[in-house]
Amino acid sequence: MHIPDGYLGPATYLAAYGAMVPFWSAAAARLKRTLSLRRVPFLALGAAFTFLVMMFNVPIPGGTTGHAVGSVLVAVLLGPWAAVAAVSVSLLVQALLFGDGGITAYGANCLTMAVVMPFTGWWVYRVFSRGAAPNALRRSLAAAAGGYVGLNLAALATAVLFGIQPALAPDASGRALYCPFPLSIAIPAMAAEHLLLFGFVEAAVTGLVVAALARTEPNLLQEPEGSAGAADAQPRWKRWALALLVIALFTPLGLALPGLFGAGDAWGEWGAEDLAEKAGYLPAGLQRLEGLWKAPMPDYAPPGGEETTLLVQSLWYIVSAVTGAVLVGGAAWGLRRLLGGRESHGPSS
Amino acid sequence: MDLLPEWIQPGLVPPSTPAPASNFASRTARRALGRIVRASALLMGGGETAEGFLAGIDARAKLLGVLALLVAATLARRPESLAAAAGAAWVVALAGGVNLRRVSLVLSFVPLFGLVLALPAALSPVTPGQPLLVLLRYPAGSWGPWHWPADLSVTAGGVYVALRLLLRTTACLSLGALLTASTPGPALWRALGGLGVPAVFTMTAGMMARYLDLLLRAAEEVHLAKISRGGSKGAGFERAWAAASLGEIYQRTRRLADEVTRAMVSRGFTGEVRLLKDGRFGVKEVLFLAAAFTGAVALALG
Repeated sequence: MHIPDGYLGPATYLAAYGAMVPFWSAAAARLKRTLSLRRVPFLALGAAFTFLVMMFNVPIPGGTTGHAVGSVLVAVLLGPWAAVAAVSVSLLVQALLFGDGGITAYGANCLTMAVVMPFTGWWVYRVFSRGAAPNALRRSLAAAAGGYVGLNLAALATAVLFGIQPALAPDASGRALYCPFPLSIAIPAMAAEHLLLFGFVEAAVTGLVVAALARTEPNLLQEPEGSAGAADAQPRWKRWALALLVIALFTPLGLALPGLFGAGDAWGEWGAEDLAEKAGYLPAGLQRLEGLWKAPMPDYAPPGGEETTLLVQSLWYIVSAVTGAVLVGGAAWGLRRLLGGRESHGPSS
Repeated sequence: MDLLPEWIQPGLVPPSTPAPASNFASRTARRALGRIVRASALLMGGGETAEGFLAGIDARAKLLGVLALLVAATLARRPESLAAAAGAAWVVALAGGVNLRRVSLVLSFVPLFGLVLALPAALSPVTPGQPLLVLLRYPAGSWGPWHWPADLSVTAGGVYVALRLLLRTTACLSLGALLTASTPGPALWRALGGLGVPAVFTMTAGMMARYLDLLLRAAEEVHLAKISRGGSKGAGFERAWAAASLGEIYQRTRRLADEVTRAMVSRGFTGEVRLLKDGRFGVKEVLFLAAAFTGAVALALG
């Protein structure tokens, strides 16, 4: 995952440094506010801990081993902004003292491993662990899911940085100056190894360390940085519902705006008739599979489709949006209940 | 004599046990231990031991000069220029009396990592062109965004691209290793502070490097204990062991952080960062920077 020097062109690594500046500034400002410089040892040792996480090999299916990155684990333990600082410092020491990860690629490595990974992983952890007791099984599972998602998204970001190099910086003969693998190779290669192997290592390490700490020192798993916990879960839920409702009310814009700008269907989202018209024929496989499933609310349109008035279509659009949001929200709630039903609510010992 | 337990009595042959090296758990632990020992060696063999003209140059000048050369190495287009840059870094390292063992330790993973990434670039699906060596023949085709030629071959263009990539990585790593092998860690963090990096980061980096050695030793002990006990109870046990060890090290980390904070506060630390006085920019520094910037321009344009 550590990008060495020479794999990214100046346009990419300078842009990555530029993208990191607001994150570093915000992290420094937040840490000053919440941590104070007197607590620097915690941050320093947190950074050292992220380094140590990589020193532990974990067996993965197939008889091989891998090591975790640890960014999500640090985000779970110290909070995402502290993770930005701790992982950035850890990557700096790795780049300067150990040659692991490049100096020019340092900004890009921070973007993937100190921003994308801890934030996405921490969000997943927060969603699934909200309201869980520090020693609940759900908290460990949420941490494992956060580790898996965080690592895979970081790998995807790395693959994109690699994959855009041939298009961004070819030499006079059209050959790649830096990483030679296009997106069509970089993304599947990175995705395959991280989805199938290293994602599980990260998940195992993150989840199991949280479980181990939950048993021995559950107070370490209190919500860091004054983040909202179970107490305000209900008001937050209501705010989310209100925000979704407002967004649903605006969805008819999706009907009006394309007509206003003369836009057609989104590329690749054609129906069978549209495709037959564009391509001149209808592929046999598509013809066979097209009628396999009849959607109850096709095209988010009322019965009668475009022949009805714009007002009816708009109302139907809003109904579709609310129905979809309720179904997705219900599924997430059900999943949470399902996982929550297995947790233990014992007092912290 | 009978007072001694049986297992400590002289002449007793210990019962034969399966060699711990042969099992999966031991192999895993040994591999991890190798990484820890290598990291410790890199930490211990830092710029503190460096002598020669490079060690006498102000860290800020070295940092600026090496950064300029690194940017130039990423701008260079010809493999010859990159090879010259890597060679020049080694010549300067030799002449400057830096710790070559440390440079070679940093570079030790280049062949493996570089080859793994660079070798596929030499193949026809990645870099089409004049085939030098045909490895496999099969029908040409395409699927979605993927197109494959009628054969899998090493192409001339591919070899050029792979070689350039490998040389670029080697040149950059050699330059980076030159900086760190000739500069003590604390001076490096001070130099970063001098170039505008916020104190919270440089101070944290300095402290991290200082305490990393201690924590690496803790990790080493955990692995050694694991190897000495031998035996494996399966992959699930191994995962649980790694997690429990990491949990224990995290707790140790927090306790250590607490102790360090209390020690710092008791010595009058209020959160204000006071850095040791920086060195002065003298003739040596100006000459070094002039040479580095000239080299950087030549490398970028060459």
